[in-house]
Amino acid sequence: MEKLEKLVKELISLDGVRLLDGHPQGPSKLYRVGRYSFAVEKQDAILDALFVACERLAMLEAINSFLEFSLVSSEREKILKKFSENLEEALGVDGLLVRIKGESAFSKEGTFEGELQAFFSYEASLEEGFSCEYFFPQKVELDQRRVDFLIHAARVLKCVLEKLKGKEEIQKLKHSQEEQMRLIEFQREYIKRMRNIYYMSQAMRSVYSLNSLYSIILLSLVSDRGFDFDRAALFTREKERHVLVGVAWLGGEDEKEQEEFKRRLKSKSLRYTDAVQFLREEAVTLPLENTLTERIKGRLIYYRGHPIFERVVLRKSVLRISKRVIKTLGYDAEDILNVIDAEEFAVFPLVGRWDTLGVVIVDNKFTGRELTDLDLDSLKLFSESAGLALEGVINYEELKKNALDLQRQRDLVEYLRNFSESILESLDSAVIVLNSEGRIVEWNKKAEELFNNRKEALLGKRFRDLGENFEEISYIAENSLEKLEKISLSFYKFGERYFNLKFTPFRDLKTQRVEGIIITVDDVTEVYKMEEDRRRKEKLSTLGEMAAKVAHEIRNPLTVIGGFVKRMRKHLNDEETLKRYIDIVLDELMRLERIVQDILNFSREKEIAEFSNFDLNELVREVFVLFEGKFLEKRIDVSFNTNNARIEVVGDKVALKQVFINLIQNAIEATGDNGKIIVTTEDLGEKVRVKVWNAGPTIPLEIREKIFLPFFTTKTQGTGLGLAICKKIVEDRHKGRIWVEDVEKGALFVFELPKKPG
Amino acid sequence: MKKKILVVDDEPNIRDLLREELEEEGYIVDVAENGEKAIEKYFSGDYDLIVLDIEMPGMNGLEVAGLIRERKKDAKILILTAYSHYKYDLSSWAADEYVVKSIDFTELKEKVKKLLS
Repeated sequence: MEKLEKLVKELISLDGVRLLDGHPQGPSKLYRVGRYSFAVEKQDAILDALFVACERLAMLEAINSFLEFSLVSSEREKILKKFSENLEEALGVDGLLVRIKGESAFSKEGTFEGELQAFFSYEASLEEGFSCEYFFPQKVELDQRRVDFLIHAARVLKCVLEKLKGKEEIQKLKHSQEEQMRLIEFQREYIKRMRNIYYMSQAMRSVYSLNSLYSIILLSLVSDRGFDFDRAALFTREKERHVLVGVAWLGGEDEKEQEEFKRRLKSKSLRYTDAVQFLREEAVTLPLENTLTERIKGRLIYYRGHPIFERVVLRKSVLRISKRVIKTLGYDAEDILNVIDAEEFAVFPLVGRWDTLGVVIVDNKFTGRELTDLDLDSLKLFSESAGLALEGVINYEELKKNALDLQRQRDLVEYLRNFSESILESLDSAVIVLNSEGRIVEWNKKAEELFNNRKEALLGKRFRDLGENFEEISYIAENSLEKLEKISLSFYKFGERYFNLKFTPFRDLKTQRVEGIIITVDDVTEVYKMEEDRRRKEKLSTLGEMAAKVAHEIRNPLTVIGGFVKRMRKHLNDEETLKRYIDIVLDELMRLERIVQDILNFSREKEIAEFSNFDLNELVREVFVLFEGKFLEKRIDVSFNTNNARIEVVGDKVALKQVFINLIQNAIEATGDNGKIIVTTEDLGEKVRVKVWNAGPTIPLEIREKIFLPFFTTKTQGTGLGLAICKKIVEDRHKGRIWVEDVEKGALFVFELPKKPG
Repeated sequence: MKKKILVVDDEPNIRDLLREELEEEGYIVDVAENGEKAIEKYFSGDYDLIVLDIEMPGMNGLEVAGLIRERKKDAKILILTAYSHYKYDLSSWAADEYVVKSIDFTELKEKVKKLLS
């Protein structure tokens, strides 16, 4: 059984696996392969599978070797003896007696001592009416695998014994042996896979950054040291938005590129003897930015209801999408089929402890190699391992973030007391500690980096003596120390950079004496720049949104006008039709004008307000006259209430008229035919309050905030500027206030104005 | 036999225009002013094609298209809209054709003809 020895050597070369001699001790997990026992430091699904496979292989080899022997031997006694020996070896037991119908054989020299019934035994009874009893001198744990093995062995033994009776059975036996060899081949391949996956998982567990992990995952899938797929694409999951986001795609664009890509990978992998090292080191320099990645990077796929991804993400399935399946998917999965233009591919989730964190797609587009069940089985194991590693990295990053938050929130004294200097040194924030005299007692590594100086040169120095740059900071520090107040500064400009600073005075917990001050400094220059960038982009996107909205608003009337003018040409002699068309065109032209007016109104920046003295109630009546036709047409019941017949205000009358027009226009649309509108003005002495109520639907809480934003609209027509204009006029120009009031029925808009501008 | 088309748009002028243009091409044209009515009509009549606007009060055109596609796999659906940015959006998956509104109706007529042939 030299094959077993080789296998054992390979197993103990794995990290965290130990060969045991004698009796196992300690809490480590135990595995058996034949007569060898192994201890494993950490429980691991891959090792589990690997050892189970090895144990199976040992069993298969034992049976195979028995079959080979029985093909050349015809002595019943010897065959039985060989049978018991091989089984003893495969099970790793200390002696085994096999008994069939009174005949028996013992694996050891000599005889089985003592009463058989007193020993541990198992009887394998086959349905065919053949029974084989196994006796062990010691207690043996018989798990399902071993029981299955004993039954299988009994079946083989039955075949062999039958062969002894007649020559015709020999063919059957040979066939059985071939079958056995095939199983062994498969098992060997499986073990190879498991071992590779174990290496991969080791490599994956050894990194702490997302990018390196992504690289290792993809490299494992396409390298000849790993799965050797043609291409692999990785997506991460954004749970809140129910989408998968494309990250990277490794492989070649076409056959030529693919060949080159594989050749390069191979020449690199040849330089390493250690697979783990290969994956870890090559992942660092692996270029993920390529034309394939460009095709999926940032691409969103909605997985809910998706014929492929819903199953992968939510049910954590590993799927093989074969040619046949692709045909039945049709347009439902076109989004992904168009991207992954392969005849067959596999999709699997990256599963953390609880949840799917990402999805990977692999294919053999160029070699055309079919995806086997073994591929899928091993991908399942790989997916769990990769998922756990991914979860680890994500947790690690969060931990890092939390540690920083914690440090800001918790009492820093406690923090410093409990954590060692090395943690202080490895912090992402610069930490400076001054004693009560303002002298430097701590200056960590990050502080050295930020301020470009050495701790040794600074200890004991007074903070304010460090130079001009530090003058302001030291002044704030002294202030904070003096008043025993925590002070935080955000985006403090220090030279070319921006810092978040926090000053925390601390006392000795026992004596309550002030001991000094801790200053934490975070370099937020990048954040500042990003924030600036974001603000700029936001502005641009509002502009873009406006342009899109306006274009849409204009396109509708344009289509109608153009369409009907063209029709006019065909009906030049039909006066009645022509008239109808002209009315429609005029109608749409008026709409265009309204849109243009809206935009102009909104974009008029800080126009000099023409303030005048006028009666607000009079203004309301003027606006009512404008809408009289509409009220009648839609049979809307309008009423006007006030607590003072005349309310004199000083304001921009034209602008305020616009406010009333917009509010009433909205009210008409909201309340609809046969609706109801109530306008109320209240003289409150210094100011005046106006309410515009309509009987339409109540405005949901979640949009009350947004309703005054420019270009926000729930209607399908209109620029979404009406209320934004109102807000601008009331709040910016008149220093008043406008809001949506909570009412049980209908919708109520309220605005208040000072009677005279401040 | 004349083919039947259901035109859905919330703007009466667009509806009238489409009706006249498509009737001239020899189709029987019915109209609906919103998504809910469109679905009701579509499944009670025997339409060969539905032409859908996207922005409508209530259910929008993309939702209508999705619902129809779910219930009738071989439905012919054409989206006609002033927006061009849904064209490659996943949300318009259910439509067979996507036409941006324009004064020139040639494209629309061609696509309608193609779908109904």
